[in-house]
Amino acid sequence: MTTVKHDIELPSNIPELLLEKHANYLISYGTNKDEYNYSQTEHMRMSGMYWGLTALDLMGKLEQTNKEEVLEFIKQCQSDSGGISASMQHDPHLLYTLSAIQILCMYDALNVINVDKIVNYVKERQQADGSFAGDQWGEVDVRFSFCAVATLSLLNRLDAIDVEKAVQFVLKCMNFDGGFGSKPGSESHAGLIYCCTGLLSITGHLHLIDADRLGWWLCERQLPSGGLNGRPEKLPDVCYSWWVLSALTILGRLHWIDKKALIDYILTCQDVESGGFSDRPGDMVDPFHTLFGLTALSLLDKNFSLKPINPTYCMPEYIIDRLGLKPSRLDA
Amino acid sequence: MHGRVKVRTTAEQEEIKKRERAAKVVQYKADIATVFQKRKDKIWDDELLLITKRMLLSNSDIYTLWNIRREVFQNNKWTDEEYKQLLENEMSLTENCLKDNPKSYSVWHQRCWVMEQMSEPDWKRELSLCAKCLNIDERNFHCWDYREFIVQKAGISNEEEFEFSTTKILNNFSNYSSWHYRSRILYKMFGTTLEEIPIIDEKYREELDLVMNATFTDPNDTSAWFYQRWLLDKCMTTCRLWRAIIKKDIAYVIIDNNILIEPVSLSLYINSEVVDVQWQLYPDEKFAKLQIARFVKPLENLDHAKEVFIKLQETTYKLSYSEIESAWIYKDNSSLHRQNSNDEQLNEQLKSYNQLSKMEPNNKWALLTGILLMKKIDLKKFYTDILNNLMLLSKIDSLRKNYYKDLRSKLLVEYNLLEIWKKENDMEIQIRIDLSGLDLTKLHNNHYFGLFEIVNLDANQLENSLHQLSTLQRCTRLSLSSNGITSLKNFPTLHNLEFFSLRNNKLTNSEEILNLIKRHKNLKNLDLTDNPVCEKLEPQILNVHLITNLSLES
Ligand SMILES: [Zn+2]
Repeated sequence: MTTVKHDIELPSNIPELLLEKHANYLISYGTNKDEYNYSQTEHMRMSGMYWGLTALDLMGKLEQTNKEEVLEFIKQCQSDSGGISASMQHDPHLLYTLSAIQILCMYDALNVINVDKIVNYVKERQQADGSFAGDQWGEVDVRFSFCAVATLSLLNRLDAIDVEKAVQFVLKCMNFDGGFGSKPGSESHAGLIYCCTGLLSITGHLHLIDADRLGWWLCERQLPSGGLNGRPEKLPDVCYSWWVLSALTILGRLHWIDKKALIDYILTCQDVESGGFSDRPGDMVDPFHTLFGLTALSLLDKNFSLKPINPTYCMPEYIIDRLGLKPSRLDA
Repeated sequence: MHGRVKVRTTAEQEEIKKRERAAKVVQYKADIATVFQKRKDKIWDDELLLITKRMLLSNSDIYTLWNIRREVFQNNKWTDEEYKQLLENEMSLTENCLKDNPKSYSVWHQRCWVMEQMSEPDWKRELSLCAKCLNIDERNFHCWDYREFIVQKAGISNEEEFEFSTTKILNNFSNYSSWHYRSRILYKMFGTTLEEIPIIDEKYREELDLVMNATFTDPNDTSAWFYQRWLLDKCMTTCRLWRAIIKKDIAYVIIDNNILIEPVSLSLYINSEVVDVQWQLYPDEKFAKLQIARFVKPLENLDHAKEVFIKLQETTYKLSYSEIESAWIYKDNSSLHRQNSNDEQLNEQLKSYNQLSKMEPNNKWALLTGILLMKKIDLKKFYTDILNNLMLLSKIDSLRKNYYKDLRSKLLVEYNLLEIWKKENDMEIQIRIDLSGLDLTKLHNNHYFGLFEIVNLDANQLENSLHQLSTLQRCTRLSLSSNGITSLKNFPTLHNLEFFSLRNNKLTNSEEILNLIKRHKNLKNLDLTDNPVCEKLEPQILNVHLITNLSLES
């Protein structure tokens, strides 16, 4: 293989998957609420909780979490407008609305919030061109389109928005490489490709994707180290293992990457002392990369002791089954 | 959360850090409490601006604080001068925040919001700020997006932006963002409805040369190679008719393009009169590349029809009556091999890239481009060379060997179709295809199989691709022996199937076999020889002749 400028070298020793340590890391994260890292991430608390709880559920440890405390917190984060905020007194936003709904679905506890008001909040975010603004301040991004569609489909209320128009907007974000950017004109990026592929999977519009072209671009994200980057000429990062793999799985082309090499890369990104995963070997761990390290491993190999993950919703498959949802995929 | 190296520190350093952080936590909690209290009390004062500013300078991602600042802006009565100054100050604040955190969504959005509030926005200044920012990080997509926002608002012309993209690319070929931007602007200015190339011919040739220059300058940078693939391997979105066969009792229509952006509108005309048709869509309602209509009441006027047309989207296709087929048919055999207006240029480039491959035998990109060029010039002529390149690619780029296997399958299928068509009479539609022993892994171009009746896929590796056989709706004899098949769960229902060979696979589940038989009412003969499941099956079930041990029948 020719030299690649942006990559890293893996050590020769690849650690085992340290499930016990990861569970302990996530459970203790947030027990000390005065901790610096914890207070510094208050503005994304709801998503942080979703990352941690989903990871714990995949490891079969959801019972060890404080369900009542979480439900009470979510209840308090629903604003009069119906939307849900990252944390108490922060402002509602589609990003945190989706995270909250994902958690509630995991706990099978949608009844603790006012669902009709959520539906209304999401519906009001849709713009004339089909796009979604994240909140009342008008920032538009396909991430928010995904949040809106995923939220409503989890609530079985997709009929509340103009789905065709939402799809049309996503198509405007398609690029020469078959990928998607955050808005029309924006460069393709694996995270946004996940959002768009996910949205088209939920709404049954995967035929609009040129799967061979996009699949090739996605499998080209794999670097000699085995890790995946999110755009050409960028460094590998564990979270892209998820964005790229989930999209490839939805497109029925997961086999286009080298699974063994990627598994080795992800395992190397574990902190063998504290537990948790980081973006690259030797960096600081966080719940975000811990979740996406585990979800990627769940997609890659059934032999890890992890529950299967649904590639569209990034939630354990058994919950998607329980909800009776069938997001489409190109491999069956 | 990205790129923060975990550093080992001494106990003493750890202690100092801990104290500093504890102080920061206390400060944060006090500040945010004050901010929320003031907001609750609707006190939109300077102190609120001051505290939120301080907090945002240390963490610019706290989106609610930006919301609160906007509320302060909106909830006070300002003189024009004051408001102007306020907005100017906000511009400096966002600029300072971006120095620290150039990828903060909230900051970039605040900047857009402020610009929209200004009565006399200085777009030029913003463009030069973008230039500065892109000089520091050419790949910052937030900055590119902001630049796009400015370009739209300031009404900057496509021509200027085309110039900008040229300068950017000539300055540094190794910048994927610039190539992306160029594809957008070129398409906007010179996009074409031609099926083979994305932009008008003259520009197309120029771009091919530009990209060759780039790939030779730095053959290991991936950016330009992706752009080149766009030029050489266009995504076909225009809906066009590929083949059709219309008989009294049944009609088959196949549509050929990569993706179907627009909903398909398809109608059948006999003697200029539209026929009332219920199309069944395959593989499913959305991927409707194969459409079949079964007429309960036969089309009696078809035999003596003067004209038969198919209208697909806005285009009308004239069918011809074929004595051989006793049917009205349509064929477009050119779709797998179109004429290029620039074959000379393509051949020149092929020569150059072959040389590059010789000089740098480990460069996969030159080999891949070689394949794309050869396919574009003449798949049949270069068939062996293409397969050679693919073999080399799987070796030097082994991470993606399965991708190359699937690409090989696709090209093999297309090559074999071309071979069949060569022998096919003008008025004939060949019903037999033999693709046995080719190590095929996928049939991504499965719509091409829609009209075959006898399909031999023995000795391939299609165990994970059974769902792709759903377009074999006309097939009566299918052979899938020796494909390593372990399960029939994803095997589609093929209405016409009569003879089906599954010899020498790894089938174990008798339920699946019974289900298969139940789904296929016309199935007469099912060969399961050399499958573990044979032991579990009765030799005669339902009305199907099951072959479960070696026999001479075929
Ligand atoms: Zn990451």
